[in-house]
Amino acid sequence: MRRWLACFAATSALLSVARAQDNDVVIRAMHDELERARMFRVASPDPPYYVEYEIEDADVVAINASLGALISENHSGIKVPSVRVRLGTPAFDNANYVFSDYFTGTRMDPAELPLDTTYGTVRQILWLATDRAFKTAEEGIGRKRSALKNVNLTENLPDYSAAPAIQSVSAIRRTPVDEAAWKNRIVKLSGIFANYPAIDSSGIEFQTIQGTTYLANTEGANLRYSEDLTFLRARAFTQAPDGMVLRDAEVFHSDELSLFPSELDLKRGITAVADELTALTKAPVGETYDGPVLLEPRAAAQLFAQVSGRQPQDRAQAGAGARPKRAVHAQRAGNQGGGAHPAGLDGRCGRSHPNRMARAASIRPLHLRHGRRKAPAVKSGGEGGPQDLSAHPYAGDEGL
Amino acid sequence: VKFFQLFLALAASAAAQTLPQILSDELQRNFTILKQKADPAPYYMAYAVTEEETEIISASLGVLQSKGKSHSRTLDITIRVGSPQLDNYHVIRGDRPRFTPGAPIALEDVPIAIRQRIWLETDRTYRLAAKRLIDIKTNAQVKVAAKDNSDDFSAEPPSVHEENVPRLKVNEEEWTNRLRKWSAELSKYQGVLGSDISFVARREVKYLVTTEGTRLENGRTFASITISADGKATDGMDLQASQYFQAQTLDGLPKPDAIEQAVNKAGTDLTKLLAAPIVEPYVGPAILSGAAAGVFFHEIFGHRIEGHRQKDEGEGQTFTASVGSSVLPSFLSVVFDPTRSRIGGVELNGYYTYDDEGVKARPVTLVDDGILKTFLMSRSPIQGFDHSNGHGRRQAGAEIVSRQSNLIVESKKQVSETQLRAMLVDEIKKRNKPYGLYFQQVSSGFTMTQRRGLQAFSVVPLLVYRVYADGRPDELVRGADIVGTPLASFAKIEATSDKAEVFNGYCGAESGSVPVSAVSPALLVSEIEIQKKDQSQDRPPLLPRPEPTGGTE
Repeated sequence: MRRWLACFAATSALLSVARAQDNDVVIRAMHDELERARMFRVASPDPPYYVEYEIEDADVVAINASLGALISENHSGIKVPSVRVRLGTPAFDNANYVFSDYFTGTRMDPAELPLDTTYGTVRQILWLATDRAFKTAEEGIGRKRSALKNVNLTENLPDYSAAPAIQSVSAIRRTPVDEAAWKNRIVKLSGIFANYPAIDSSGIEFQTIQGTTYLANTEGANLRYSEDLTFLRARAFTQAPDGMVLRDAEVFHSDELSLFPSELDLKRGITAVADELTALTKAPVGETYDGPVLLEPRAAAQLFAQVSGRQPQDRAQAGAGARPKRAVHAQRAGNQGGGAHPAGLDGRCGRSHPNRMARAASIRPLHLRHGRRKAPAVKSGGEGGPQDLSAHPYAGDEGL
Repeated sequence: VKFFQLFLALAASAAAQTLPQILSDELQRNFTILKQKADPAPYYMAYAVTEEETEIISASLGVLQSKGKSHSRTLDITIRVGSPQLDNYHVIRGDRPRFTPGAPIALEDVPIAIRQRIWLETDRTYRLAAKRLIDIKTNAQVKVAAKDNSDDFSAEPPSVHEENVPRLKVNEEEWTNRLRKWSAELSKYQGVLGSDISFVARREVKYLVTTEGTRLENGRTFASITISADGKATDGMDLQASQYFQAQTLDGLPKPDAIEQAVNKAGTDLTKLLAAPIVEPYVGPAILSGAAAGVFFHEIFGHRIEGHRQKDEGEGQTFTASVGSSVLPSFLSVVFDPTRSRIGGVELNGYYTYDDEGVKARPVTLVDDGILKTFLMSRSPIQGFDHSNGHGRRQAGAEIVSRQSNLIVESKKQVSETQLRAMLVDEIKKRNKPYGLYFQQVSSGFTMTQRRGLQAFSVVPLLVYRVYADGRPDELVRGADIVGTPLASFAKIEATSDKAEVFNGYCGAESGSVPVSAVSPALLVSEIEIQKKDQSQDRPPLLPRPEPTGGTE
């Protein structure tokens, strides 16, 4: 109990300073509901020792195009609140159990804050979200206790660690995006693939995300920071005459829209994807091989990311106490659950040198670990490409 | 330079061809080639594109919750291989295949982009179709013969029609301010924990080209306002009050004052529901309001007379053998009329001019003076019914089956609402029941039609009243769902009111969500059963509502 009161005393003092510095309604509403959250101790035999509010506010412009035509465009704003409540003590709390976040009741709090963000609506939503988080935590700690009675623990680690309370409220920066200009640019760039009749399917996805994250907790942390990401992903697919599915992609990204690669650089990169995928359709099939290889720098980095980077990250995300992946981070990881992936941010993973190009699947860490062999080439079940039955539309009626 | 030259050439080409022309050209090209080279060859192909432009604005507690515009074009492909007598769409014991890709295509009429997508999706669809025809023929060797040996596809005359579908002119600022104002009203009601008022304006244009010569470009607009208020009773029961307005045009929606009244009705209804007693399971006489009766008919009758269910051995086939027989009281008739755009000043949501197979919409009398005459038919024939009656429908991305349109219940035993209530009181006394029930408003319903499930239905009421025979005022109750079985329920209908009400909504089934209406007078039923609603066990919020006075907004 003393710890709890001490935490809130610290919160009050520190957030008062922040309040004086910034009149942000979100920060004030988070602070005031955090203050009220102490009342939950009355209702619970396991008092809450930690409450955290995080709000992600992102402005997203997304444009997709293919072969010189717009496929979709969207401008959306998302404001996602999340509340974490820890009951018990840092040595043993409701988190880090597979059913920690399983809620049996009715969710009354909306998944997103309104576009019109006012002090009153933020408090209303945090009130309902905290109520749900508290009830979830109450049920979770009971389930965890009963489950632990039936297992032998080899390690008895605490559930949560102390961290310094950081105070950092930075200015919100939002740069206007010229959506019409970007739409024209993306549509035009997607038309590059129209020069390549050997490519069956292609598309360009562009997103620019401007995000602001708010975080406050009962340890006194008070954060507001911006996090932006712009990326363009060009993808192309085709089938070789023997049915093998071939694909290639390139991703350009930047933390600041103003530093995004020039249109000329984008055009060069996309053209390279189209050239090399076309070349792949004519390349011989790679054979099973065991021997020395040369990995270009980016391929080497991706190989290490696959072998060493992805698995720990996946484990961390799977943990009940882990922080959920944020919108900007999710995009940075290509929505593939983190790590490198050929269809995600790292389109060129696993491709051999264009001068000695051979068709094969990407190098797979599993094979490297166990057999030190390249994976066998993947064929699509022996099916022929569409051209077996119907001519490519570029070819006109004379194609067959 | 070469790139930009090509791009300019493509742009010029785009200006020259419209979407219907691109679809027609590519259909002709692919059909010709597949007929020459593919085995089994297709005998019918169709390309359909559904273009949707949607604008959504929603508000809660006086502030703008979200708003957005979306624009999409969805490509659906039908390829039939084999012959109309036996093709790849043949249903094998409930196994209903999906071939169509439901693929997004370019929003602009750029031929190369659209043709490329169609080409790839046609190839994929053809492969699925050919594979399934082989599976069907193999299956026939090891299964008993089906009872209904009707063909798989009917011959229908091609339709050619082009219409301009106007765009709804939405004043975004005006609607945003209205929604803010209306949603602020709900914050006055202490029991409202969550609330939402949404406005949706949608334009839908459908393009269809077939190898039989059908060339259609038609569609309509949709406008709706949904008001919902959610709360939780002290015993944990979740409760909702809602109001829903659906129209084809913005002018078809109620006036702003009427909507504001509806908002406050939702707040008042929820407040009363939170304090209402829980009703116990009960069987007794009841009145269903016109809107509630519409949902009742939609669920227990409408889904069971959809044509494709009559030849599917996995279905319950409640009425398959009842053509020419009495299925409803003799004073009732049921008509499905997609050509009716409004009734009594209310625009109907199940209105359309052509169905999704290109068959012209027409009114169909399903039940005439209680006698079943026919079924709702798509181009999938059933025994005794070889042709479509314009009810082949789908949501973009799904396969077409027979679906409902505007269900209209007509009665020859009409009395005034006052007389109907007096008849209910008589029925309560005659059956020596403590009370009867009045179902004023329902939210939805569902039914199970397959044999492996129960042949039962459920209707979910929002507002239910106990009606006492001794003159006490009606009493609002909560926690009741209507349950029943179809044949037993129809036999209990005693009379109807003389005033029809409209329930507009969306119906979900195998072919997705399609707009429908149900129009009916109020029904007096001598016996209806209610069961307890599933109930949440968690308590209302532990802390009191925050006071929204912490500083300047």
